[in-house]
Amino acid sequence: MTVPRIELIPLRAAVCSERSTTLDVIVRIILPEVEAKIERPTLNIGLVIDRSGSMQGQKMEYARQAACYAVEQLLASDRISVTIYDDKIDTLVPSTYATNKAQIIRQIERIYARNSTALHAGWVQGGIQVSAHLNSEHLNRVILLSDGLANRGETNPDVIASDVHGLAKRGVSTSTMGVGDDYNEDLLEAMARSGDGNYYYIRSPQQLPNIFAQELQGLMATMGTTVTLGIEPQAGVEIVELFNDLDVNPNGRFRLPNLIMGNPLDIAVRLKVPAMERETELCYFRLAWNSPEQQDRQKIRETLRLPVVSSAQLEEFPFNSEVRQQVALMMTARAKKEAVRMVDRGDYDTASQMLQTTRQQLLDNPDLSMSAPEAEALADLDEELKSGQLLSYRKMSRHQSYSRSNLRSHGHVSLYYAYRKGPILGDITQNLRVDAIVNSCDIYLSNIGAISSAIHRVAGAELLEACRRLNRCAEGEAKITPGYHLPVQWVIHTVCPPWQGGSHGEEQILAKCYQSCLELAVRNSIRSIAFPAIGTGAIGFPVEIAAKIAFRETSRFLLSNSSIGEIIFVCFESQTLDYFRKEFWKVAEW
Amino acid sequence: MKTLKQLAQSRPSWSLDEFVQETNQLLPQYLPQERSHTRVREEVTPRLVRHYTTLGMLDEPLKEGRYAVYNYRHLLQILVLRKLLAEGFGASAIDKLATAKNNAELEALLQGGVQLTVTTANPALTFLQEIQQRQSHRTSPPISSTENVPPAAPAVPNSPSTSISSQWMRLEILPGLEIHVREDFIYPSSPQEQQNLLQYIGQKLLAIVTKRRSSK
Repeated sequence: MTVPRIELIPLRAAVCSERSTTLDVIVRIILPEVEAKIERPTLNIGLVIDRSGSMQGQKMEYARQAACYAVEQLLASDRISVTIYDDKIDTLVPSTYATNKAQIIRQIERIYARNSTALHAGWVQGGIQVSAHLNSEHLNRVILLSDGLANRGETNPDVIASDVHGLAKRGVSTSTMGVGDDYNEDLLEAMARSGDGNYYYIRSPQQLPNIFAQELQGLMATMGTTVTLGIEPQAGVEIVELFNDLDVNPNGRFRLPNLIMGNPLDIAVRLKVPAMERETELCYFRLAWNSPEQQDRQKIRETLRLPVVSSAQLEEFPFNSEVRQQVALMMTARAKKEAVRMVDRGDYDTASQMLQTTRQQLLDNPDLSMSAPEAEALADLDEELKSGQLLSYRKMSRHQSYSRSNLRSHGHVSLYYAYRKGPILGDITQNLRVDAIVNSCDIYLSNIGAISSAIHRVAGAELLEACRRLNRCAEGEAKITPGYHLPVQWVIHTVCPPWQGGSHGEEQILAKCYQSCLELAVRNSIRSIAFPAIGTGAIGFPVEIAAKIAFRETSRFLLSNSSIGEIIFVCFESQTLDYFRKEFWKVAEW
Repeated sequence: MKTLKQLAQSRPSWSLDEFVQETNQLLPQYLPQERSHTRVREEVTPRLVRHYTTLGMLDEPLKEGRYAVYNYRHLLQILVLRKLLAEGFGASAIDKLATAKNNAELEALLQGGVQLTVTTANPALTFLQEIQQRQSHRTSPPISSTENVPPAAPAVPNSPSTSISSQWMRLEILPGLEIHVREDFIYPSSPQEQQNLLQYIGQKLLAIVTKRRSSK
């Protein structure tokens, strides 16, 4: 599959012949997975970096690192320019092919912080650098990084956003990154929205290089820009509401984020379907986008058609839990946004109450896998609000709502909560409030080995008996048993081979262990799962490699799948924990 | 010398040499009078025509037996091409423009009905330059710093001089007739275009006068 596909998932797979029905539908845009083989489009990037006085110190240091990282990722056929701004604009590196990387990096390392913030003029200059080499077959993007308020030159957010939109229409998109708590999130979000790019909130400057990595990887995997969705109800059907918070273009189409490989988009819409006499076409969904490879605008269409049944029969149809979950997630994002509005009016108590009520509604639906991480995010927001951290509260909240309507419409809005805020030190047999734990064992599924013996000791003899009946497990595969006396419902057993220097495919097999465990978990409707640090200890993997594989595999899964709400890593030794936490922070803000 | 209109109606077909001759006769009236690149002032030669064809800037000639034949469309193409070159557009900027446009569009380009700007080549850049111009008109707030810091920079060094787009100049032509000219108005550079403009003004005036008469 090289093109996107639309899948329609209705709350119920039928409509009624006797009365009108309200029908929630997920319009899922499925994109092919990233394949290393696929040639990525050429990039034409303009980095625009704030060097106003407030950037001094750590922020500047990480901004430099991030910019250097970006340069290192480029191919010789890509273009890059670096513009820095305070009250004065400097084109540090005029647009050039990324051939002499060492020299570009030396230039970036000399940036230091200075005066006030002429954000708009800096953006214009970065845009000029990109535009001078505009090529519709390339991905042309300005990436603007700021930590402060635009206080020089053009400062009107509406004018700036409209300029950004004008440039996007002419083929150059804009992404924005806000660092710290003192920038104007409304402005940077508006710029990204109207600029056909992404907006990031970077709470701690250490995250800067990781966020740059995310932006670049997204850019390299981009297969569609200026994406729109048209929803055309037929046969008396009406649109009641669109749950995603999307802008509408002059033709009445909804503006979607870029199409990025491996990143499905879910748009949830509520339709009102009148009493139907017979099965017919209910609604058309039209997706259109520009592809760097094709000249013409690309289009696909999907039609919603459902069988017509009587009112009594309709009651027999189950509710689709994915649709329920998606609507709940969208309502949560909306509540967060509403709470921000209340806070802006000074109504802190009502806002806090709203967050708590929404959290409770999620917790009342424990069967939805995303309830737990979303509820945790709401609890954090509430705490931030109550402790008076208004600047960061507002940014966290706005950014979460923004992501939910954009690239993270589907599944996890932040991996920070998907990993329950990071790996922990301890014993995997303790009560972790999860559905399943993973056991790392040998091919005989014996109770030998540090992790396996601990698990069997608590689970009791029944577990060993169950393992014996499973009759072995191949390396890289996984098998499931009940938890018996363990405080979990399930144990998933997986077999990791011993480390023999790395040239025997050990890394691939460890990766497969994670994949097998996650697949098995999905098949058994497991919503939360705890992993030990598979491969470390006696099996002999270098901890660094084991940690990298663990987070690469699980983050890839979490970003494209919402059936598992939480993945928790439990490390037995503090040294292992350090490595796992380091890898965790690389993806935590994705 | 025939006008373009007459040529179009006569459905010409020329050999390469005839084509070159015709081109050189017609060309001067479409070229800007001053400050044109001297090289482009030179006459068109058969070799040059073949060169443009290889670059894809002109349509391939038609064939009649073994002979290459050029028609009215080729003529339009080469006139547009030379005009643009003379106005300072680079060959890479012009590229396939002449072969991509239809005859009516090419005629419009020659007659000055269409203003060809960088817009067609690079809309993004033009857009940003417009923003810069707009910004440079605004007075920026004074800098409360003892350092000698230059003002927020207009980043393109040779950005066009300041002109407020809404500033108009009044020209009295005759008692009862004035022309209002906006500062950024560009008077066409070739005699043909100037002719067309005057003709257009004449038509507009005539329309008003006729209307006035009939309403009396």
